[in-house]
Amino acid sequence: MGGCSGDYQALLGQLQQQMALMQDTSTLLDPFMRLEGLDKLRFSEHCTERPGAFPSDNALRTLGRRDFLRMLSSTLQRVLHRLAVLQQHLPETQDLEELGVARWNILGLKNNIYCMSQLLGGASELAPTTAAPGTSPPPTPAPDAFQSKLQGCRFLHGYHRFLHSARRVFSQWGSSPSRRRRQSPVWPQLDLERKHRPSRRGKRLVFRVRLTR
Amino acid sequence: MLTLIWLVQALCISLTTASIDELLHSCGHINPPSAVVQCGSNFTAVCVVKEECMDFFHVNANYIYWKTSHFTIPKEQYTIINKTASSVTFTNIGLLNTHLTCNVLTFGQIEQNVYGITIISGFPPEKPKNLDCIVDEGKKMLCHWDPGRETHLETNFTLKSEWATEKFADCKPKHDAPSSCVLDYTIVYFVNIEVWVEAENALGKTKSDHINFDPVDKVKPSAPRNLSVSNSEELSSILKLAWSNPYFKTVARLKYNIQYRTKDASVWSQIPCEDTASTRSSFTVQDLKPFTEYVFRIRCIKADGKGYWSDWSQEASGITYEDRPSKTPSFWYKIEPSHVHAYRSVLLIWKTLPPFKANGKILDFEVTLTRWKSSQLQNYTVNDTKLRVNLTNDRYIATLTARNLVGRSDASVLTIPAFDFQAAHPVMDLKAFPKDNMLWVEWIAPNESVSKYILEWCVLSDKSPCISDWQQEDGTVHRTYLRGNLTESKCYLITVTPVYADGPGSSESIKAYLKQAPPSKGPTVRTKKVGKNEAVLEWDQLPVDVQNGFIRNYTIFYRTNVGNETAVNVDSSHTEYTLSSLTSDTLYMVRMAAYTDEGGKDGPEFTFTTPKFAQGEIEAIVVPVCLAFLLTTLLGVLFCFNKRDLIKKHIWPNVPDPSKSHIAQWSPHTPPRHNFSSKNQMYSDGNFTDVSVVEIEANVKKSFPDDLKSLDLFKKEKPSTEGHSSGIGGSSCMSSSRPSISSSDETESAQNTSSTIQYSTVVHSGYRHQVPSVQVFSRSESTQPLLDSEERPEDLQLVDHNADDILPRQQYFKQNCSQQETNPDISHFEQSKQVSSVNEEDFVRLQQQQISNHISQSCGSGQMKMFQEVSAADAFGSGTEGQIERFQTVGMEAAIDEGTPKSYLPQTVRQGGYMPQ
Repeated sequence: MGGCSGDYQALLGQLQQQMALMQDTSTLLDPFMRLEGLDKLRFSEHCTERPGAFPSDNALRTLGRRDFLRMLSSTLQRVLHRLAVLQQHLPETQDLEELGVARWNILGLKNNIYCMSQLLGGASELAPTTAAPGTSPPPTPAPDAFQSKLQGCRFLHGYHRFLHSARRVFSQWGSSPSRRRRQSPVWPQLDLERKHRPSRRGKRLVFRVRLTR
Repeated sequence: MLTLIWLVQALCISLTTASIDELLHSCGHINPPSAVVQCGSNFTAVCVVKEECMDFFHVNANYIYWKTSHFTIPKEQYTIINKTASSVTFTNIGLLNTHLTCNVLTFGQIEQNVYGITIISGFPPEKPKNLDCIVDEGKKMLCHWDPGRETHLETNFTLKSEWATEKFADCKPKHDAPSSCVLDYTIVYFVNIEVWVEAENALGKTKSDHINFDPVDKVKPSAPRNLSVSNSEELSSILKLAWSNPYFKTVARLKYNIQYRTKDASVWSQIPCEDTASTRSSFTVQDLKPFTEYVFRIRCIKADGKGYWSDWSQEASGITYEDRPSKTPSFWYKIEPSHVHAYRSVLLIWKTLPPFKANGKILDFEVTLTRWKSSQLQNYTVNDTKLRVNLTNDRYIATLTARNLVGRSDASVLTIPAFDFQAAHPVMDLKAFPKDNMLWVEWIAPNESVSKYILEWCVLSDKSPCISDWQQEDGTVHRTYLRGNLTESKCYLITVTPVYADGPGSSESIKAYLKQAPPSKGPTVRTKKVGKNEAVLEWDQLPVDVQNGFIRNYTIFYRTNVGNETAVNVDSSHTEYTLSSLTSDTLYMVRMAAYTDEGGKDGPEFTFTTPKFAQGEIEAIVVPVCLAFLLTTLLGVLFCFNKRDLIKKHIWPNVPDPSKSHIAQWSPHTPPRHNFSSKNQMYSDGNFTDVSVVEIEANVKKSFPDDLKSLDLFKKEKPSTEGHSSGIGGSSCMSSSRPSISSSDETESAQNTSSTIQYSTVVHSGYRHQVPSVQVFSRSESTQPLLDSEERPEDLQLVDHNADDILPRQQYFKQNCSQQETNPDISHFEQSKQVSSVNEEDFVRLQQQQISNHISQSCGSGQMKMFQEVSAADAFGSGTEGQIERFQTVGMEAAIDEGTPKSYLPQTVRQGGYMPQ
């Protein structure tokens, strides 16, 4: 099997960027709602995370690194199963491409969690799963169709929230695998606002960039 | 019976089956059964033949031989392993793909194939190198590698990829692209993936180095979309760009390349990379020119520079906002003739501002005219670029401004001087030269302060007027190029006028070409004057339309028909040239070429011929010759005149009077005798009667060399005649007809004639059958005796004819006057006149002869003449004295003209005797 990166910082950065990418509802929840005909504004109140479906933000914060990774991995494994169920309930003619992408992303995230666990010395607990993407989950009883859509919507909402929380935890990880830091995150966010670049008029008078928001 | 048939059939089937079975069973095999051999290695194949086959064919391993395709392998490569096995070995195998067969010779000569295998050679796969992958955004990941050397075998490449926790399906390249493969699963960013390539063929298996990367670092983003450009009314120097980033922007930060150019430019300018090193969707470009159209394009890449640049976006263009004109328009004037007294028609002209100076669309121009020392203003708003006004002869100040949507330009001020203004202070050392495909003008500024310079130029042509264009330069400029649409090979007349505060200065002009070329046609040369040894050529200057450049020089080429061509270079200022050292009376071909700095062109060829003589040369030869001849003649005449006594003495020596001779008794009726024998013979006959004495007076007109020659002949004869008392008179006597009359002395006289006689009888034989009327005697200078044939008896008999018969013959001579010859032989007339002792009858006869002679002078030969003398006398009878005199004169002149010596004495023969004259 391919070796994991031994660069903790690089791996941590990959984890954070993965989560930043996956927490965005446009990657999964929004397409799902469009596909299921659930208006985002109208059903925003109904499409909320069911409490207890995913570990809370506080619960994640209190976990140690290995436990956090273990929790993260197991939760993602559950998400994989649930996504498979959602895929089964979708009309056959309306394949949701984002579902497939999300599953691959989750597998990638789990791979990085595994690698981070290796770096932290607890990889045996997070042995690679044999469930390849697309593996059919065990059949579940079919609820009411609308309720099923709402459940799916709530689940995905919780999924995105969970990733957001997990990303915040990762952002508090220090620059070294040996120390646990709880101070402010050091990883910049992709959408962080950036201040205006200082004017270079003194050096070069030709161009000046105007940033737009 | 039926059973028997069945048994036979069964037996046949059994035998056939046995035979087929024997044939189908191979007699042996080759080990290895198939072979893929590496090039350069050794290979050994062993053929094992079954013993039963050996026994059946009665052969052993020695009978085995090997073949590759159709060629038998030499036995040196065989090895007999045992009775049934033989091997063949190939060393250092090259590239091959062939069949190897094991064969035996059955019964010593029948070739029997035992077994065959296929041998293929090649190379094991090399380790794939340079494995790399690229993720085209929105597409699958593509990995490619360098497969190494050609293996010549079927080689399979397999792209393998895996995560730490996942192993992906192998990727098999397509046949048309064996060194690349597209992974068909979804690429997950921020997860390291390990990729490698395995290559495998019959000779081996190898794999490339593993590469481990995050696919996000191999992304080639999609190009930014929807690029738009907008301007700002507040700032005319900026343009705002906006675009849509690719989806990859949500995955990773981006940086950009933004390039721009003006619409008409081809070279792109790029905004510094550090200004576009972060993710953005807009950018403002500053410091652009107002009212100028710019074109932009943009591309992106992951901010850390890993991955690949996207393709360029579609181009978008925008125009910066207008600004007030930044420059004043070029402003000039021309004064045109006016019919109104005390007014001038002034044409004010100006140039439209170029876009980079107009900074917008020029709406109109405003012209203001102010009379000197007057507050009265004349304002004009013009949309055109010229304005014609009538101004007084006073000085005026004209101002011009251009207006666009934003504002007005500064004013151009121009002083129109008064009518009596005297321009001065021109530019100095004006030069014009082409450089970089532009025509540059350079000058030295005058010492005075110059406001601006006006450059005017036009094309010089013989066919069209000089339509000028112009431009304005600042007063600080002393070198510029003409910003017009100039044409090559055209002569431009460039004028530079400095403009001072009080008016224009004097103008200076110069001619120049943007680019010279050889003349379109050469000069036409012609001759102005052609002499014996030289020729003056002239030609016209080429028209400016065909010069195509400055004519630097001419070359004259001239040659003869057979000679080499000679070239002469002539300065371009000349229009004629003198070719010297030419050969007289020779045809010359000449042509002329005109040369500019870029080459020359020949003109048409011109041909001329030098005369044989120079002008006046003939006169120079003829005149002196004539003068010399005339002088010689005069000298001769003078000599003759002075020495006439001597000449007379030589030509007409004193002849003794025969009447006073004591030797013979003069008897005019004595029958003629021709006795040209010696004196003794004459004495013996006693008939010395044919003597006449002629006294000839020397005449100046007769002083000719031939006469002198005759005189010499006389001298020669003198010794022979001196012994006789008669002298030359004797000869005269002997000129009568002699043999025909004294036939008894014929033999004797003939002998005498052959020795000494110089006289002969000339008998006119007449023309064809016409009979001459009289026989005449003439003197022969020849010492050769006359032939008998010349003295035909029938001719001599004619003498006996009567005078009555003469008249018709005379008529004949008149008819033959077509060939008139001047007979100079008339000396006998004078001789006759001077005969001292002649009777009257003879004198009358003489006159008749003279009249007759006049006819013969104009009609015939000497013989004819003598014939006419007689006939004329018979025909006309006695003539007047005057007539005779006239005939004498004519006869003498004719004798002078003829110039032949006629020194004999004419005598008339009368029937029955000899008549002395």
